[in-house]
Amino acid sequence: MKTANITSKKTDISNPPGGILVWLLIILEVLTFLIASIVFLHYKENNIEVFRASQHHLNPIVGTINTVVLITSGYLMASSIIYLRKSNNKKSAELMKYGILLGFLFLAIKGFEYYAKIEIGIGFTYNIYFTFYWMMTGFHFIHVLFGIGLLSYIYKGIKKEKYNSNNIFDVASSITYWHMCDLIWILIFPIFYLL
Amino acid sequence: MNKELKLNTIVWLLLVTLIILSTLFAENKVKSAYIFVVIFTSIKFLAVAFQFVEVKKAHLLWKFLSFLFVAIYFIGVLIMLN
Repeated sequence: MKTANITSKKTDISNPPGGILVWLLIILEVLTFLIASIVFLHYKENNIEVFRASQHHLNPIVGTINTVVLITSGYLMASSIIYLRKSNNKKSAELMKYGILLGFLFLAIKGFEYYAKIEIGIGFTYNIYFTFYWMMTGFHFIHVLFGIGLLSYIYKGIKKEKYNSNNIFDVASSITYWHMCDLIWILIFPIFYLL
Repeated sequence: MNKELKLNTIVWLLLVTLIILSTLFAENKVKSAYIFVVIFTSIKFLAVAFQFVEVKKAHLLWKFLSFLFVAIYFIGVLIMLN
């Protein structure tokens, strides 16, 4: 009976992974970045030379490395919650710690890229390409920064066994938020670096 | 190893492969590279949503929503780039 209840709750429309609130946030955020990406490509159509020249200022190898870093962080977070469900707090906290460190590495690489742009005078108003670049990657940067803060708090809770296999909701919500950062980056990385 | 952990690792390897392939295709100016990049991006989005976010265990609505996001991206980007 108990198993049946859990199963029905899992597939309940109002109970998506991480909870309904974080999913409303995901819908809003992903849609915003989707629309921004399409508007960016619309402007590209009319300013193709400016966009091609601007794209040369970005290093796709650095972008690729940063994408792998963020995706690996998401992988560690996804595995962390599986260990927590198995009541293995130690392993769960360890994986989350490495996931958070990779989050910091992502920001460090991005920060280095930002610094290089600012140093040669490429700011928010440099041209339309970089207005989108600073706006979209900047917002994403802030999301990752917030995610690191959130997951650091959760990490402490897992270590102190405040969270366990019976009290997992906050952990699931926070990790879902982190995956939202992955999803947004997956969409915007090719727009700026590859296409 | 737990089945879900094994699946996570497989999906992670797939994601890394697709990320690298996207860059290789785009950088080497492979013919119609942008189509491959958009397809790979769509697969990456769905792989993260279904395996890492565990949308595969959620109600049909959330699965549909994930596909809807990908469809908007896929169609929008291809129309703009054509």
